[in-house]
Amino acid sequence: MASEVEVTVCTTELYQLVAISDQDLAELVGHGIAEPHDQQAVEWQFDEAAVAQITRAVRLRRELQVDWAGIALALELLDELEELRRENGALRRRLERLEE
Amino acid sequence: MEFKDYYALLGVEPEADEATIKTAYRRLARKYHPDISQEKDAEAKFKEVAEAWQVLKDPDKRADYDQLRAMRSQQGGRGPFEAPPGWQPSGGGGFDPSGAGFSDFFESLFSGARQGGRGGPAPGRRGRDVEIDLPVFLEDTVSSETKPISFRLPEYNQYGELIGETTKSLNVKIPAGVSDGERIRLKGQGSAGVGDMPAGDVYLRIRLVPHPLFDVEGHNLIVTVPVAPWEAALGAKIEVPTLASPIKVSIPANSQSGKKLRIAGKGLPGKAGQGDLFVLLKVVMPPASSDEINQLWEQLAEKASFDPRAQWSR
Repeated sequence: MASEVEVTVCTTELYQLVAISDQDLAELVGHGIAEPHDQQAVEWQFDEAAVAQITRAVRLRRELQVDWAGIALALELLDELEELRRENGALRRRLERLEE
Repeated sequence: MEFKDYYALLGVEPEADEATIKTAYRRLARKYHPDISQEKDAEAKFKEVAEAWQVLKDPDKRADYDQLRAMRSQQGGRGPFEAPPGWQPSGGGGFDPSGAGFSDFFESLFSGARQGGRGGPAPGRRGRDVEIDLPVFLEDTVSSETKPISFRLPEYNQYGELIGETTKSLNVKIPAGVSDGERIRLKGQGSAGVGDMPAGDVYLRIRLVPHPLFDVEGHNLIVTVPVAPWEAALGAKIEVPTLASPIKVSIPANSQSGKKLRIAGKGLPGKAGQGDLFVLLKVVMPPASSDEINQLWEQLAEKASFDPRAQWSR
């Protein structure tokens, strides 16, 4: 919501939230999996959505044993799939109303 | 306690080499990973597969497991399983803490090695995050509503092992204008931290419950309104439901079935302002006909000389 304060997390806090190394974080950002507010900043800041995305990426990387490029692709496709499933469900419901 | 056949869980032969086991694990992990899979019980299946992999990838753990498996098949291989008296796993370095939450069978075989190997409680660790689906009715998204929710929270001991579950109840404010799939973070409401570390968070994932009348498209609402053929032909003023009170809508004469009328500002609240309501007309036939009405249709057919499939014959 527009009225809500946006929470940002610096890298120090991020390391408490997610088990990830400096090097892996750099890789992850390099692959565009999550974006810090300002990539040139001395210390990166991430918003909540980015933290959630990093958590998801780290979990998938550990449990599926896929490299970061694969994770980046998998996450993109998963998001697209979720969006398409949602749209498909909504369209099906609308179609049902028109069919008799 | 149930004896787990880790080889069967991964679908490999007990003689399988490391590479075969690794491939089997990777394949099943992709199939059942809760972030990916749509299958029922995917999470439970993934845990089983991960547990099997945790044991079979480690030569020492696998040797321990093979030894028990052989002993068990000598005894007939049936019935509940008990670790033999004085059972001590030979070790097998490096326990992956992500494996917390494995079965009792796993714990009875390998937890001794873990605690011995660690020499005491794990250093402080932040509590785990929990993600919950929250079904929300469309009506609840119009204004900020407070909803009581309750959910099960896993409890872990100082070693990061799952020791049980508690039920937690909270009153949550659902902000106006939330959309399907949106996540709401409840800071510090997740599992307790270890040592001085803070508790994890709860993430509520909003799931809009399908509405009997309205469909949602972004922040717009669509309502499908049945109209009689003469209402579509002659125009009419009809009553249409909104999420608040019903409103009067004028249907222009000569409206096609499928025509959309836009009612500004009667949709859902959103970041970019209030959405709109679209009235979708659906022309429906009266259920039964009498001779008298059939005669009227026939008159109409003659007068109108209308071929709805004219385009096909071109």
